[in-house]
Amino acid sequence: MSALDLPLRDLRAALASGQTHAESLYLEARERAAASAELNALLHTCAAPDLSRSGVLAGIPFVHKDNFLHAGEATTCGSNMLRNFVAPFDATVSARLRESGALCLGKANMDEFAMGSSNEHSAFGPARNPWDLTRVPGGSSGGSAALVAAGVVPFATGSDTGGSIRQPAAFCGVSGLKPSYGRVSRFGLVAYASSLDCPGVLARRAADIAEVLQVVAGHDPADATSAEQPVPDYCAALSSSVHGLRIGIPDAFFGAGIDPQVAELTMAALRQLEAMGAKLVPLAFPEAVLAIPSYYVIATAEASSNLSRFDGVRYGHRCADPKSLNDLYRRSRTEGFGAEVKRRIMLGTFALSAGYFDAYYLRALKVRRQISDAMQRMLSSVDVLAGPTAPTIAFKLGEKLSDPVAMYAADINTVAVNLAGLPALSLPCGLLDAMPVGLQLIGQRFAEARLLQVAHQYQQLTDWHARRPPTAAASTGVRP
Amino acid sequence: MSVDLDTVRRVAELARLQFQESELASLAAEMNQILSLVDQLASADVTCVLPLTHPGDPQASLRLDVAEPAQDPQTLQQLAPQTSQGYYLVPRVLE
Repeated sequence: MSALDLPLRDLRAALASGQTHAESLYLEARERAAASAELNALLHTCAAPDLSRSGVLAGIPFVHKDNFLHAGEATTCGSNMLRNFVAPFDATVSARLRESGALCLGKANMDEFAMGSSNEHSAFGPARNPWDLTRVPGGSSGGSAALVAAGVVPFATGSDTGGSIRQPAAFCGVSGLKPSYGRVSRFGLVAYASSLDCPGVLARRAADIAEVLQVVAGHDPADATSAEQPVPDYCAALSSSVHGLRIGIPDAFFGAGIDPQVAELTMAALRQLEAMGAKLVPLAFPEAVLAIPSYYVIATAEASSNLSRFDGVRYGHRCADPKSLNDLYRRSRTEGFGAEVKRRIMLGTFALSAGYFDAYYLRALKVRRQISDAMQRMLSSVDVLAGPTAPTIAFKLGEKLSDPVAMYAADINTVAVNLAGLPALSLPCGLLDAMPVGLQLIGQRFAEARLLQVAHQYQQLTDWHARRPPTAAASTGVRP
Repeated sequence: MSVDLDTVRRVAELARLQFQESELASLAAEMNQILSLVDQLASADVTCVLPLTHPGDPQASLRLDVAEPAQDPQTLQQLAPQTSQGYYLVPRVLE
């Protein structure tokens, strides 16, 4: 086994003892990235990093979703609008990872401006699922999930606005954490929907996520919405037993639209946790039926406002020979944005426009409160909520591309978490037709340690997280 | 609720996007398909419910009123498609 495949804690020990070296790890990750080129998951390779830096993640390579600014490197957001954009400064997540000594291998493919659930809305072509190259890796953090699943890097960053870390983690058979809103700074993360966007981490194991979250979590004066909540020791909490843990099972997470075989595998995982001493508590969650309608109004409204900054003046694509200021705005935006981004800007602009604001945007915000209150109520009687992360296994490339509503339905179990600002983690819990299935755990706000503990305990007794896709096996020499 | 072609044209104008006449019908159809999903919101009883604009309970945090170094304007302007003498260039607004 290569050191690159070790748990992060063991990898750190191997680096500290001199059993392996930052340079060889970095070069091996680059070789694996080259061998995985057919995934189309890595958009750019970053300049050679400083290998001599010390810190808790010193010498450990990672990939960065391409909507985080990483000073001096391209940041395209998967868009032609930013095809030539080079980040002038570091996002706080980048700065903290840089300070920790982690080595940024490159930037990962994503749906344009994080708008999508399949990675097919990237201006640079879709990333592919390493388990089956004819299937999507999920989105929007599809490139990050595919590269972790393929064993190219031990961890990757992602961002989650409606499921964009958890759904690709589920589709690619890796672990992915969307922290609580405010737990990780959004400074330098290109904004999609500011009240929902949340930076997070994807890795093979929950314990690896704990190590990285420790580095990136915490208040940031540069992001007024980042929480001034103390950051606990995430690794220390991992070893606690799940004995006595109360796991709520909201009925809606197993309702219409969920593949019965996915539901069955998820229930089998929950029964395993029950056998480990947890108690399963059925719960009613009728409010969930309006999560997708509420989410798609709020997210598109915020997107239409956030993306108004792309005007062809200060950065990004500018049309040739504009005849007037309006012509400059209109043509630069029309040429720079892809179809899904335009569709969402149009919807959001409509929902915010005079005559429709109350019926759509204001109403969606009220429904958001009802959903958030319902989740808080459920979490007052149990420790975590659980269900399938995604309603199906990864779908085929092109299968849902012409039907936006069918694509939005892939987020059915993930968007409520963002509306409520809660933390949630997806972990691999089985294979269906040789494709991974993910179990989603949701916790109280700032209860990331609890989610990591439950996932870690599950991963101590199961090996779903250790299964590798056939393409990774070919490039890394590890048996699937 | 459904949108007609005139509404799509008006929203496109507000969003500073332009579409070919031939694209408008399919865009309107897609928007109507999504609006029929979103229209489920009308079924909710939201009487006396306050809107939730932001998760959690955001508190305005205070800091000392001390000037901090800002981004160097020259570095930022290097990203701009067209500048001159420290200014961003746009087409003439006043004739």
